[in-house]
Amino acid sequence: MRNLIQLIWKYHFVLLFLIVELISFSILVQNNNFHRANFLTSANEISGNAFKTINDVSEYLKLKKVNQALIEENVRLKSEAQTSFYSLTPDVRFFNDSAYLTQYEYLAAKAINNTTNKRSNYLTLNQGSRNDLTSEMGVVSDKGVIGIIQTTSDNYSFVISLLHKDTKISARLKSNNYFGILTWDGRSPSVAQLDDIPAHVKINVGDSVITRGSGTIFPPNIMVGTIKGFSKIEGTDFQAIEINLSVDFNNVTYVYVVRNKLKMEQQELEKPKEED
Amino acid sequence: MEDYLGTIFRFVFLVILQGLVLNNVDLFGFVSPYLYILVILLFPLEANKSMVLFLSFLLGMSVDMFSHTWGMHTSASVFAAFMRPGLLTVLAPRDGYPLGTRPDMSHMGINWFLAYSFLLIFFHHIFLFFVEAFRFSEFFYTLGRSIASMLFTFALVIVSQFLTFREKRVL
Repeated sequence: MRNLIQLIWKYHFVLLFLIVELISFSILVQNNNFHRANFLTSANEISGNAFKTINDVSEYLKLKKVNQALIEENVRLKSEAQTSFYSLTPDVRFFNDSAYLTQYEYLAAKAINNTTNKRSNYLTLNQGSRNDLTSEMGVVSDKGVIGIIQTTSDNYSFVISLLHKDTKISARLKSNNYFGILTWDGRSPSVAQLDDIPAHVKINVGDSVITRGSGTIFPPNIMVGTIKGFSKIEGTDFQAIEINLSVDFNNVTYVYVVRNKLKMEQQELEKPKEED
Repeated sequence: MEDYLGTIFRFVFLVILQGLVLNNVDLFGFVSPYLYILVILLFPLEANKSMVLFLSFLLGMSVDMFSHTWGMHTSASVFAAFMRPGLLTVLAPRDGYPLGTRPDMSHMGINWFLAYSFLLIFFHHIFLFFVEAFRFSEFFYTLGRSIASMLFTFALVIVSQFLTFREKRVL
């Protein structure tokens, strides 16, 4: 305490000067608009810088929260983006000609899921019963046959791929009208088998195999593949034919669903009569 | 006693002169003399420095009152009064100031007074003009203004000393 008083006494002139000068400045700032404005500006600049620094720090600490908010916004924006919408009016082409009756309608769809490595493979399409897709409709791409719709939901269809153990598609040779049943042995996603071609039929490697259009699922003359090889099955009258599929099932994206408008009529006609 | 009366007289006279006459002098638009610094210059050497500080505060307040520049001259005068003891110590003769000496031209000689008044006026004006500008961004402009006014004030201080020159030295 004594030391403090001594110290104050030692520097009392300086302290007095500082006090009086402080009073002068407070008078200055209090009474002169220019100085007050300037003082406030400087003070604001200092406090503003301080606030800015604090804000910078707190902003950094808030990054996690901000990130979360940004993610939420991203999710919202993504769900609002064009690609997130389910089109209620898919591309359907009609051929209006009174001389012809449109039998097959094609409806564009997108394969959003697809497998090839299982014994029984399936695809999922982004169109469903909302667009009048039902089971037993054929699915083709620009390259060839893809599969058959098994079930549909409102917005999606579940498609039995051609690469399935139960696949039985009626196909024929393009060069002649002999037809057989297309099956898949599950070994390679690019090779299928054509059964029930009689042994006497003369075929060549590279011949095209197309759909027959006998059923109500696929239109006729849709490409299936080309003959890879053939051999006579001993003890039968048939030959085993290997087919290189025209569709690369590992790369299926845009497909067309075939709607047969005369399907009901054909089925009704072909339905076994009860009295038979 | 004579010293204090003289100081009081100078105080009143110079404040009125400054407020009524010299504040209206405006050479080249920016040069103004501040002769009231003479009061601080001529405070008796024996005067308590804290008292000088306080009186300078009052002096500045009085000048400010006349010129409506609240706080400007006050702070500059207080600063000048603060610098004065140190300045006197620096400029002190080898044997110290003789007793009864006044810090004016007639007692301390022309050279001493020129140095003393110049330096104190310099401190005062620099401080005053920078307080007036209240920023350092126009540093050289403010410096130029303060030096111009300083020379003017300095000239007036010297003239005033010659006007009140007393050959006889009071010993």
